Amino acid sequence: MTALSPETRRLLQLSRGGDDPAPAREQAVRNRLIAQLGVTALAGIATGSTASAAVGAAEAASAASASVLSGAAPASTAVGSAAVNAASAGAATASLAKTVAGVVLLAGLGAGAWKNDQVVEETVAWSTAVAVEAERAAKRVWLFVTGGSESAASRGQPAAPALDPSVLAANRHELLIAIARRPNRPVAKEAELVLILGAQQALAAGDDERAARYLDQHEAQFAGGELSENREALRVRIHDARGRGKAQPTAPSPATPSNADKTNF
Amino acid sequence: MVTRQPGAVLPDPFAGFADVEARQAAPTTLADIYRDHFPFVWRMVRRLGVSDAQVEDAVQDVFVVVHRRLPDFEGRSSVRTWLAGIVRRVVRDHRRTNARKPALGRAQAELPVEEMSIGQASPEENVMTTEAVRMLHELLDRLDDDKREVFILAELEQWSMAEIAEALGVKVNTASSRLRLAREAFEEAAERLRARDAWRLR
Repeated sequence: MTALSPETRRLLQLSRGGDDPAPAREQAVRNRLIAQLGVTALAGIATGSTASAAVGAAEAASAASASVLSGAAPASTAVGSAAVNAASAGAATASLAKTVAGVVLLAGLGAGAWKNDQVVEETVAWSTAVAVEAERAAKRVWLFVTGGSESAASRGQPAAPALDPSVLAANRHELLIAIARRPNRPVAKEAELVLILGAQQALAAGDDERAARYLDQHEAQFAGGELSENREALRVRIHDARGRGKAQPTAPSPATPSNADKTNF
Repeated sequence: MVTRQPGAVLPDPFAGFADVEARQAAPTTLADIYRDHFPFVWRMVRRLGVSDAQVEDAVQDVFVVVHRRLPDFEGRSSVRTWLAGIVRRVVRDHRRTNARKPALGRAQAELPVEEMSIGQASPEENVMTTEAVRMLHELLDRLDDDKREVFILAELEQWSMAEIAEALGVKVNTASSRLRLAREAFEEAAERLRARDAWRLR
């Protein structure tokens, strides 16, 4: 077979790596795919801790908002915000958060669900399209933790019938607990995420006491968990928030803890 | 139905993009393919002659096709040879679609050095790489599609002839013959370029 000349070999050698994608352009493609294929695809495509965090946008938000977040925010706000917060927990924080917000924005515009376009993270509503994705994802989790197809198969039992969505909706709290109680399973990282999300959300809402409780719970259950760094970063933010609160004694005394902490953010 | 030994690590139910049943049937996921093969897809698209302005569109289209066809992927071939086939078709479609549109310029020649992914190379090395890539693309542009594809896979991606044949859907002998012709054509083009430019990189 014809061999290439040394000069040509050198050219090929020199050009090696020159066609590789720059990180910013890879991110651009990823964001486009996220927008085109949906939030659940986002979760899989995202990398590193972002992947785990972004998964929560579809998975944990559905289950978490009603229980672990213990009603701190309206459910619709909580879930949408969870999607954004989930994305923001990872490496590609800003752009992924924007992407998730963008996806929600597009769907939300269709549903007329926007409340305030100034503060996306806190006011975005959980649109129908994204909610469907979350329900589907939560259903997979439900099947997993309640002995659905795979778990049942591993025990030689027939697969459980698919759950009615209304059953799923009524059992989100139990679903979440079931996830959290199985720390040796892969889904445990999602339970971690739920707690971190709760802390992030509480912090964003100005409730640093509640945020601290979530972090304490995370530390108790997942001391060396994948999101330990996120936990410690949030502790620093809580500390900062409290410090700033003490440094402003002349500020008007708020009626509620939530309002009080909003002055800090 | 999946059977599993007690104590075995269960698969991550969150990692996929479809429902549970689809995940059990699929040997891999879009996320896996994206993570493992994105750089390859990007390089292939660029080297197959898509302009820089169109690269992101084409790469996106590749993964959309992957997403659509993944449930039908039976694992008879490797993922990357399957992927290479998709890239070829998407790029050909792109070039055909954009043939009537005004050219937006060739990829690397117009790409600022700072946008290239050349790791931690020095500015001088970046310039050298940029120039080498420009020349490489210019030479690849002079090959027809069949020769270009086999040359890229063999000489730049370092694939075996068996893999190339599988990706291109031809026999190994055919792929080998194309590679020989591609090398000859590439060398001739390089000679002409060297004569014209006095081989600036030597």
